[in-house]
Amino acid sequence: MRVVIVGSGAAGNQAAETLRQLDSEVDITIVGADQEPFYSACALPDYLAGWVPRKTLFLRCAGFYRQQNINILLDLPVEAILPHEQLVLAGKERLSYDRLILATGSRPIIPSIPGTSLPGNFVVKTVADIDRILRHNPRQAVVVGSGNIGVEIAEALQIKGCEVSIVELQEQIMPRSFDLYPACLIQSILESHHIRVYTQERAREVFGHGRVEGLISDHYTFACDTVIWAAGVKQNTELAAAAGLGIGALGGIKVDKYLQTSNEKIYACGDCVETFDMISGQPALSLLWTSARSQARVAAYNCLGRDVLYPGALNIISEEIFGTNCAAAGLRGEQSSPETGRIIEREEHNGYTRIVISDNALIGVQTVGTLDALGPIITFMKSRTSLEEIMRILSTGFLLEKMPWVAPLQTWLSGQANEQGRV
Amino acid sequence: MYGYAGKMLEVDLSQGEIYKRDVKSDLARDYIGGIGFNSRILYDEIPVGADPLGPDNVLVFGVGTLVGTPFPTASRTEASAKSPLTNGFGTSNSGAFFGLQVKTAGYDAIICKGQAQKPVYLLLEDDKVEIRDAAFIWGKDAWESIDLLKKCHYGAEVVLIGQAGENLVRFASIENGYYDGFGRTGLGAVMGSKKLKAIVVRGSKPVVPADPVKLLELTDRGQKMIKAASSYGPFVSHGTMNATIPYGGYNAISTHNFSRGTLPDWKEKAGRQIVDIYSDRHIACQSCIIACGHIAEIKEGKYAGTRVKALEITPTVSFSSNVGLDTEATIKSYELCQRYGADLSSSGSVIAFAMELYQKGIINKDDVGYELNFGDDEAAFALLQDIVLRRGIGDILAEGVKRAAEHWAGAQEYAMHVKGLELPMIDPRGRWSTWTMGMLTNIRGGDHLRCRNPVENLRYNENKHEYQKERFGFKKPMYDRLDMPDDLKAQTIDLENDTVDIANMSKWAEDLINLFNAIGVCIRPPVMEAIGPSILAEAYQATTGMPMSAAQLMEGAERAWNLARLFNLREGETMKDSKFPRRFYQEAQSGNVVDEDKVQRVLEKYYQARGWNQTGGQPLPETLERLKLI
Amino acid sequence: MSQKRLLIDSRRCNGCGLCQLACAALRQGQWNPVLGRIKMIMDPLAREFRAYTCAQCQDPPCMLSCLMNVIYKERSTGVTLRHINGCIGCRVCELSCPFSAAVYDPVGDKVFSCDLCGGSPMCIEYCPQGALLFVDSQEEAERRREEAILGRELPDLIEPCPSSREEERSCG
Repeated sequence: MRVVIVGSGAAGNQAAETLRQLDSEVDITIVGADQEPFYSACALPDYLAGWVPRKTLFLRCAGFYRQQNINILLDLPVEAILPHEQLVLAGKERLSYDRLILATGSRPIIPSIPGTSLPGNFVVKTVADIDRILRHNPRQAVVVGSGNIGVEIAEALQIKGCEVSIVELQEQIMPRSFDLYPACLIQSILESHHIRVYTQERAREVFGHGRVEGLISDHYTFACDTVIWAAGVKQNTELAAAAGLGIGALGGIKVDKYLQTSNEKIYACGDCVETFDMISGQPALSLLWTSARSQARVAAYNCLGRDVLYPGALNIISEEIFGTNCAAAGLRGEQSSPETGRIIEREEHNGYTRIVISDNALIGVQTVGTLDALGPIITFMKSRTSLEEIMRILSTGFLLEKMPWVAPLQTWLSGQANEQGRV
Repeated sequence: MYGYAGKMLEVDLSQGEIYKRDVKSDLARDYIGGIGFNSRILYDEIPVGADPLGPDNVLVFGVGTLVGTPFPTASRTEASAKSPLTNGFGTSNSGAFFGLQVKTAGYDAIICKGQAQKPVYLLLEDDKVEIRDAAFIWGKDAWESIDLLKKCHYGAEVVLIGQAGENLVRFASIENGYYDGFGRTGLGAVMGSKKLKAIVVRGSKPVVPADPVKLLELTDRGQKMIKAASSYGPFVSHGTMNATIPYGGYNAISTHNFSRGTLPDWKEKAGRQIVDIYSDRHIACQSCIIACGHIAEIKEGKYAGTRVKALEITPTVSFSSNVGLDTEATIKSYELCQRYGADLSSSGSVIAFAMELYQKGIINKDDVGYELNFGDDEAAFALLQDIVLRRGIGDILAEGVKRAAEHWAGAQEYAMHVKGLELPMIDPRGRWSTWTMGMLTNIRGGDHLRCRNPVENLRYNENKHEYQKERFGFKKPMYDRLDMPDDLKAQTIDLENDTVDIANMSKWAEDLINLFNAIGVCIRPPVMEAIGPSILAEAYQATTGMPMSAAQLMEGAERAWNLARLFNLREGETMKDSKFPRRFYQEAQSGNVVDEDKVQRVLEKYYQARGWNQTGGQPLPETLERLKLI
Repeated sequence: MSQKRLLIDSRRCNGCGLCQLACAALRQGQWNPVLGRIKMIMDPLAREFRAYTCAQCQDPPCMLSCLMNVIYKERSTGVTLRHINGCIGCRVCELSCPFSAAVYDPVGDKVFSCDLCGGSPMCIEYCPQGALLFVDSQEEAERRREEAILGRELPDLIEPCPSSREEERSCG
């Protein structure tokens, strides 16, 4: 058995490690365009802020691959996949495979507006990107996009002593994770640390002579020496498309519940695939580290013929923004069903919590300033336990004895929360 | 400063303002913590003659110094204020987890002053302090209120008052969580008068000891010493209920308001075997290795479903023997008192007092509204509710027995109190000891918990006419093990005649208990017997890094005691107040009365041992000088 | 291979909190009960404290969620461990733990969980009631936990809700 993995990010590495755990014989080759060995993409803002030294970013050394007997070919972009011959072409290499795992990842989107090629435009994707930003030493920066990466980068730059503005197209920041009210709470944290936030603004033009001098949006002109593009990513699906694999409506590689692509010898996982949401069951692009790793595990299992279903992607993020912990998991309020959806909010001075309920089950939770009891909530969310069942579990001494960790939930669900009839 | 949190929180409820004071190192060294801090603050900050239920009274929660360390039983907090019952130094001690939370929130004491306009509760979460509206829990019982508060403040510890405190019942307690409480001297009424329903605390700061390794070693040693104590085994199995066997046997438990000898069925009602029947689960306070608390559960019958931490000797005897209820009703009375936030000991005494008045015809059915006979649980609980809600005759009884007795001619005879505080369960006519003597000398009035011979031998009760001495009854190793300075030990314990000098022992024991209450260690007999000032001095040193000797610690405790005495004298207490109710001197019980003159002699000797004026009990100038109080 | 596990016998536990305090002091170097890797929790029905700690899941959700890959299973013992130097304190493992058993230390900015003290849990030494046991395997721990629960007289048995562990099994 010979497995080739295209991509050396979180998904590629996890797939290789899982394969090796399951089978000590199988021949594993990772081939990727990255120049650096496997690093933690999530810790890049921390590296930028100076909290994490550069060497800590790298999670695996060359010795690890040798010890695990995994062939790894870095800095070697794959040129083509020949599904009929079961071959991968990369430079001079012709790698034949019995099973192929695609973990090609994604790349940041830079919109096609004037001036984006001037020096001073950056994206945040790899260690090299951060190295470049550090060399550039920004003094005034505009971050376009306010997903979790955008917000973290803005915070890191502010800590480096840079003047930062965030420009967001939607009417709130972090629109993929938070509802409006908690997003406003987070925005006020940012603003209290002198990060200016402009929502419902579209970047129109970057201007400057030989370098970035400013950015023009719908209503404002920003003077800046740096523009960071954090306005979403595009799935790297070109290889897959060229090989004739199916591409989904959202732009990711189409896979079934076993993460198999339209070719039965080829599996895909990580940022590049289009799976479905664990809670709503709708097609979804999950661009998170956790999802990439759990997908990679499932793909690895299935490669070896062990049928394992992928349970779906769960949107779960946790951030510390200027010392305040913010977390979101599952769906947002607006995604709950119009008839049965409701929201439970608790606002204590140590934190804000919002639980989204729809169809008689927990479907989402968002917090600002606290992480209490999120573990059990997310567990109930994943298991789609009905509210009655949760209340029964909480009201039974027998089960509390067995699972005392659910006790806090009782206070959350039956507590003195402001309950809203609808979203 | 190591060991201490380093800050005291002062809350002015009238103004809604919050101040933080530093704990100065000389205050820490001289007054140790807990009751030491409390007595200094009360003495300095309550104006003379202040109304205990007015805005001038100051309520202090002082956390013991060792709380937050694993030193065995280090969990205690002392609450103090001017008592609405005695008009003197009111103070009460409680364990559980409140002290730990206050300390980890960063405070050594919480000082509550003034009077809020409307019901409020105090919320402490580390540095954040808020005075919040308590309208949603005002009027609710303590357990309901805790449930509601815990839903808003997950993982927090709560001290609060029930309806008794809200209605200014003079013997209301401050409940500490569901089951524990600062019971005696009516502190709940003080909290109620301030319109402070609850204090909710959640802390997350570390306690930083100077020498953690040494402290762990001392913890280990302390645990071993406690486990070696003779009373450790019985306490683990039956808690304080052990003492019912000797005291019941000596006819020394209060029965029907001290009006008769023990009931024929006292053993079934109040013997220690009820622990085996009603409880299969122990419950501990922070860092405790004994876990003397029992969860008592009633499975069937009238009170089925009652589940409560219960079966401590004092409240059990108070309701089962003094009021005459059966065991299950006694367990129910725990729940009621804990919910209402009423002191269990005083509630029992007040109900027994009313029942005796009814029996003697001083009050009748028209006054009460129902029959009020000893042993009638429904009547007792109805009366308790009337008292707590201040309805009908309950309004008078809510003032405590001393004040209530003034309402009816001839009732004074039956008011069993010392200095206004209702007497607990021991009858000095049945057994005279350091413990019963302590009820007269106690700074908080008629209570037994501030003076107890650490090596009391409960097997002996033969010295009916000897008031100066009690039997020692142990062998030399126990004598050697007792952690007391040698010269004082020789003076106090006479090995040849096998006796203990009560006056000297009272002074020593009071100081020792004051030290325990200051440093935050529990005064349960196995701890008292095993842990002495020497190991506490080492623990204090390891915790705070300040040099400290056993003698200095005892001096600090004595200083606090004298300060409390000065407080009481300032409020007008005289030597005449240190007297048992007349009944003990006149009505024989098991063929015995207390000899007033002989007690007076012991009292004089005690004053002498304390360095107080023998005719009035005022601390002499040289005593004050020695204690650096002037 | 040793597969020993920590078992909390809740029948014996009386909630004194010594294990929590000792753990924080010995393992975290801070006398701060909040930092104990074994925690006390108030059972709201019984109104009593009970201890609980990391359940040593077979397929721990924290391991997958870790951004820095610092959480791993020790091969021989199956204990969930952390390369703590690599931890950047993002607390995502705290979120993903169904038992809320991970502990965040704000001073060191790291998240910890019970590692059985490398094979001889120190909390056991401090438990005055003998409620903490070190039993031979995960199965043994689960069997005895069941036994302890069934040993208590409770009205009617209810099937436990599907725990995350069962669900994790479906994906591996």
